[in-house]
Amino acid sequence: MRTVQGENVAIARPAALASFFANGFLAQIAQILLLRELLVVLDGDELAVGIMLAAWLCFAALGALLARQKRNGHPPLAGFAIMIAITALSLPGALIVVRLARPFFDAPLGTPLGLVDSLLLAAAAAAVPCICIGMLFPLMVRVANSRPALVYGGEAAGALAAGLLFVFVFVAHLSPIAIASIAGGLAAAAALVLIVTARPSHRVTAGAMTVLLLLAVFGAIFGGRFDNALEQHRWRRQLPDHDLLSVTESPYGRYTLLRSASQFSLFLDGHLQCDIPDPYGTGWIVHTVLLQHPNPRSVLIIGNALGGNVAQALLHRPQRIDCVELDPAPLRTLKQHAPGSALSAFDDPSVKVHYVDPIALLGETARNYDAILLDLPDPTTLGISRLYSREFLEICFDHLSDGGVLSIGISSQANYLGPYVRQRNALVYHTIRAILTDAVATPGDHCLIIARSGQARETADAGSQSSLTLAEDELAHRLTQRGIDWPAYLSFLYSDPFPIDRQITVNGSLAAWPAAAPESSIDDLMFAMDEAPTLPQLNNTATINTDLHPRAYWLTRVLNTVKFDRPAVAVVIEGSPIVVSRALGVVVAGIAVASIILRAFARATQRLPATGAGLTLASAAFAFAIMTMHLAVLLWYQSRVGQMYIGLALLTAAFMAGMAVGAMWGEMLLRARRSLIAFQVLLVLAALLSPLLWEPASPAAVKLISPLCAALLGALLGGHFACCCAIWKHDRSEPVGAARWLYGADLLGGALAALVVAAVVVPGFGLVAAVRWAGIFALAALIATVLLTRSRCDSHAPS
Amino acid sequence: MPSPMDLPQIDRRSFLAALGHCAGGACFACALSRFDYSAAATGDDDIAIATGLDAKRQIDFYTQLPDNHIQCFVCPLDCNLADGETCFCRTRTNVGGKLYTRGYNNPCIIRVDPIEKLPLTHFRPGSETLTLSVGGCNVRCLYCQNWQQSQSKPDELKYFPLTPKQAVAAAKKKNIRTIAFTYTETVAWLEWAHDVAVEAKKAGISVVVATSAYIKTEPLLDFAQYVDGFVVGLKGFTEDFYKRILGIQLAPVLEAIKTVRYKTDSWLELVNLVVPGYNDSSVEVQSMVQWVHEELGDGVPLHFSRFVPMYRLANVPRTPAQTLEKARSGALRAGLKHVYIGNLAPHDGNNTYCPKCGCPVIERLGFKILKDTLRRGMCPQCKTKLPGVWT
Repeated sequence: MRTVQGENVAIARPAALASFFANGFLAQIAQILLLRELLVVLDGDELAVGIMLAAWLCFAALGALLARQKRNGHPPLAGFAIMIAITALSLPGALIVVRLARPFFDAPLGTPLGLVDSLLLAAAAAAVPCICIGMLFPLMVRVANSRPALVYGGEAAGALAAGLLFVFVFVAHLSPIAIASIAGGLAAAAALVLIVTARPSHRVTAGAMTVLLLLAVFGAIFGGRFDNALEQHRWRRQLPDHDLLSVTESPYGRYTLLRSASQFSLFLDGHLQCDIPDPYGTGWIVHTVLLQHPNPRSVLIIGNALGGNVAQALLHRPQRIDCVELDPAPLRTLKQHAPGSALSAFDDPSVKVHYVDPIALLGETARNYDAILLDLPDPTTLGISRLYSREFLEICFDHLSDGGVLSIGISSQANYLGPYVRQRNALVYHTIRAILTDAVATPGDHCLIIARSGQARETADAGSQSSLTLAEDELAHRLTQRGIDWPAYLSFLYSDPFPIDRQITVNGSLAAWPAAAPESSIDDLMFAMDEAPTLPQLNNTATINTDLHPRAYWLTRVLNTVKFDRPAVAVVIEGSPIVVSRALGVVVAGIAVASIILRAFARATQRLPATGAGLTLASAAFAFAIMTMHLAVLLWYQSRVGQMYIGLALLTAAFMAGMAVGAMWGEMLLRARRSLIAFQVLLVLAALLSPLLWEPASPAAVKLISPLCAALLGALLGGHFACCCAIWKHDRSEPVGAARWLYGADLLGGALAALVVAAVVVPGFGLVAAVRWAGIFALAALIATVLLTRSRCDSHAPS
Repeated sequence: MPSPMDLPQIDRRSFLAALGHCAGGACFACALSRFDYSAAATGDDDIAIATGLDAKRQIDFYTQLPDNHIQCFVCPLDCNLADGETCFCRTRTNVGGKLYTRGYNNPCIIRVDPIEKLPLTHFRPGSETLTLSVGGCNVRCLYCQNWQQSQSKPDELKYFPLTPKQAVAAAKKKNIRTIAFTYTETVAWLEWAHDVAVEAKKAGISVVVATSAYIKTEPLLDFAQYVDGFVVGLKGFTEDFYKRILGIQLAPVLEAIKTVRYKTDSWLELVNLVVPGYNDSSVEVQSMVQWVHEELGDGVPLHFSRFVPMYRLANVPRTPAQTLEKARSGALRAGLKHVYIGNLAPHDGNNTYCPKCGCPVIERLGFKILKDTLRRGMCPQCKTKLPGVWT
């Protein structure tokens, strides 16, 4: 057996590698589980993801930096075992804390937590497991007396396996507590093997690991029941009169189905998706849109198909209805628990359900539609924002028949259009009108923007009459003519939903944005009500929502902050893009200036350059750059291809695989410093050139290129880390320092990027700007490396 | 010129620490430079009423305290304001020891609405109202449908300059017989509503008000003498619900409702928005119905209105139809004569029935009156007189 000498113990290399792998597996599972739980509680958009990742990486970095202080307190094997035990036990604890947090923050059901509360909760949940995971890294290096890059590679491989297993196996069959138990058990088993093979006399530690393993088995078997009981408790507290029928885990999130009397309510990650049946609420969108077309034969419904849109569209007797659902799980669950008329529409032979991303469906089909209805949630996430983008709406337009109607809805307010609602809705309105000029927006709590393709598109100038009508009597007449007996819609029409004064005000206000809304006098409001509205003049300075600059997502974030948080927080969020860009500039300049000054200081004092500081700075800056590029690739894929969750999992897997390979490969490089510089130059070039690809790439090309990009980025990071460790070890002859400082810097850089890029830079400035920042940070890493490492490091050869 | 060796020997760690401090300071300075100091400095403590308002009017109900402090007593919040501070409702500001309204002559909404929208079912059914609303509110409902106006100061909104006389003239020009104050809380801009109501009374125009009735007795009685109808949102029946979801107390609301019922000549209807998980328990609904029956009598119409996800409660399910039907049948069983289901149409609970013979006297679809067989407020079959304002 090939062994390496540790501290008084002989560690078998396979056992050590298995332990690295198991710990990477545990860490990745912990990250995914906590992220999912927090998404449910934090009204999860990318800000929640950013907050969680940042908390995660910061605590892990802290743990890595704290490891030295623990060194003298515990022998490495015992310390190693303790850390694994705490991590494995604290993970289910953290899940329970997150799930029961809402009453603690006194946040009623349906209201998201504020920014400060979100930060507190993420910190509370992540603190213990993450610090332990961070501490495990240098401990593993010491226990196995191994090179950090080998540990890094082993961890990355474990993380890769965890990500793939979670998405394709675990999530569909196991509860979160059971998954956490399995991951903990795996880590305990690996540690047990390591301890037994290295030091059989270490009975207490081995015994503790055995107990942990048994506990994990218990958790894996009974975790599901406990999880259900926890969910029952949580929902009963919030909706005492509702029965929890089922909790379904899917790669797209956690679906919860509740029933009160004969009404079923479906939630996805805590967000209400639909109430079924809802004959009084649904239908007005479908009928208002379909009545704009003389004979809608083919209809495409994207969103809220389960909520009744399909059933309502069937009343118009089209030949074909295609509806898009990302996930088969909700319909399957509903059919199981809510059989009957509410879902019978899906059994109609003219209805075809496609379980794909809308972009993928429209990319594959050549079919044209008379009506395309987009009934989507507000763009609270980047994933949804892309369905409000010019690119997606253009794809929809390409699939409209001549005279076909396209509609998109967004939340609004019936009686008054405040500035934050106005700017978000105006952005969507302008995005639609950039493609289809004949468009009207409805007043009301839900702003439905309806547009028509075909001849009207060319003739619909400002001031002319739209070919679309919101006249209530006319819509009622068309409904009757079509032979549809649906009193709920008539009742809606008789509730004054589209008063002409509001039509004029709302359309005028949206079209004028970003300029002030047109002034109206009391006479305009009260006496111009009999005149049919005309298409208002568009403000040409208005911006629109695009894939590469998801402004709709950003403006929704600002709006929701105003809605849900303190005014001061709203001011901070609104101003954050500028603040963040300046702060990033200061950080980059700081790294460059610090490198120059340290170099000058070394010369002035005739000392050696501060290699440790240089490598730490370079690691942090490079990790920031890589994480930024990685996020940009993820969002690029998401915006062009869709298939969010599985796509993201695959890209993350490609990144982790690249990282494992890169770390191993970096171990073998002879000229560490030159390789390091080469990696950094490569990243600068990638950042400069990649935007050239982004605009023209087709979805098929994106599918092919983006996993390669992710793998390359992972390999660069892994290789960079390995080279940094090699130089550090060569310069200082101790691997644990490298593990602590470089790993910590790596995590901190990644954490900063995860937080600011996903939450602020991309929505505030767009993907291209984010990539530029990646290039700038890679350049900073290059400066630090060139100035603060010595060329003789290249004489290093791996041991 | 000193050589490098003459330079003071700096410890590398402290040197790096100093650099870190510099970078941190720069970041902080950078962040601060973005803030709008004017906005931060004003907030709720701005020194003067913003310029550009068309008029300002002193409040009638406050007491002056030492040091230019003021105690407002329009509503039970009893805001105690230092000079320059603004009430919880965001509409009344202490300027130099005097309390001024910010919303005078500044309505943000001027509309012509069906009266059923308030909802009023026993007050000139099928007629139109000139609806007026000013920004601000002294309640903090988490499901507010009009949060953009209610959670802002009146002068922060886009408003229309409109004097009481102009408002009444506009109603007359359009042949509208009723002016309605709704969408936001009238108590927050009581002074302007009061003056409009006075002018309306002079011109023979009726005034109706939709309110949460979080108001003290004296200002309520002063205002109510010019008001012909109240729709009071009795939003729940526990102090806990009022505190958690509305941010106010229940007891003063109940007191105000009794005041309207017994100390004024105004018509009164009650609305209860039934929110799943919050105020929909049978016990709570029954307690409320019992109170209405015992304290107000059986003739006060009660509307159970359907909740739809809104504002901060965007992830709460809609009220199931059965919940509303159960509440309505419970209320009818308890003896209330006119119980409606709102925000859920078409439904039998939208119609008005004769309490004696059960015949539907007014049938509705949405806000539209499909059939109105009432003759001077009497059932066409049994001639029972229904309570309300019918002419």
